[in-house]
Amino acid sequence: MTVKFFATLKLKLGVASVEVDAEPGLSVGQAIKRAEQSTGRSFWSDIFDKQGKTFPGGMVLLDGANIAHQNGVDTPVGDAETISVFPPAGGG
Amino acid sequence: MISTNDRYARHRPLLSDQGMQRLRSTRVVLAGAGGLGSNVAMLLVRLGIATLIIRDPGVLDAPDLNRQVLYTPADLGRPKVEVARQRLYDINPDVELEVRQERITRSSRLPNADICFDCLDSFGSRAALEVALQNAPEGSRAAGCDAGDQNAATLRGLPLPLIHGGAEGWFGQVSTLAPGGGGYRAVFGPGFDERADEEAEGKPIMPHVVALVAAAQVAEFVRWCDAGTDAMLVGRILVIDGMHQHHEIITLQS
Repeated sequence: MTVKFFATLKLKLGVASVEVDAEPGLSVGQAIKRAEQSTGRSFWSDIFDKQGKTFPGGMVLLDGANIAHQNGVDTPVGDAETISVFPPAGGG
Repeated sequence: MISTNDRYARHRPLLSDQGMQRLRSTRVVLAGAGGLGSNVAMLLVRLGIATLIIRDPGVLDAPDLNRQVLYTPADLGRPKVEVARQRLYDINPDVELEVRQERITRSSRLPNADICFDCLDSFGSRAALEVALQNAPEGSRAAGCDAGDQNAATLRGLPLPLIHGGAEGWFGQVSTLAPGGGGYRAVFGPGFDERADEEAEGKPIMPHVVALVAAAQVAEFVRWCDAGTDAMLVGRILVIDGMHQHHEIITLQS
């Protein structure tokens, strides 16, 4: 599956997306950990607090569905094709 | 004196009669008169809306000048809404301007309007706006039904379309929250307003990114005039990358 990075996260990592293996039972959090390994950069703490909850204003979408409305990082990826990761960006 | 036909001659042919009529009769609430807000206000006034209602508590500071298009160095220290009123009147005196220097809170009552722009700079202030829009309108006699008294989870839903814009660094986003929908929580998740210290003030921001986001917000408004909320970014979010010039619309699943 594809893990896509947006906004300042894309800038930090220097890539727009990475491909990760997604076997049955993999969670969103595990997929994002694999994406960290693939990019060689740690970004978990840019997106999630110590409880693994998305920082306010940020979004992690599993095929467009916000994991905050599901089981957060424990949400199974199932047969989804894309995880989109947005750091908080709410200025005006 | 400029005739209405002349003033709107270049965009009038691009709208239906109904769309132009709607544009010319619309009352707009603009929450925030900073980077996004000053760009949005300028475009709305040039388009020729009926009434622009602006709420912003701020005074002009030097770092605002890189992107807040209505203001000049001579305005430093002045309330933004007062300067905005003067500049916007100079641009198009046909538009009625109702400005007030105040922060929108959960207990605010806003005048009746048809549509609202979120040009705020924090998710906490957006949560307050969402509640204030559900309070009884300013001047109404309705009592005891203010949404500000309710738990956020029990709110009735927005009474009007709310065009959200946000920008930071080289990036921004635009989405429209439909009347009666799930509001900001549906898009950003249930804890979107929990970080009280998240104010964007002082964070780096590219001026052209602010202009891109504001223009996309106004595009939402123009499409609403012509075709209603079905033509807008409802349940979708436009992600703007002002560095790589790559813009993308993502469909949000509920």
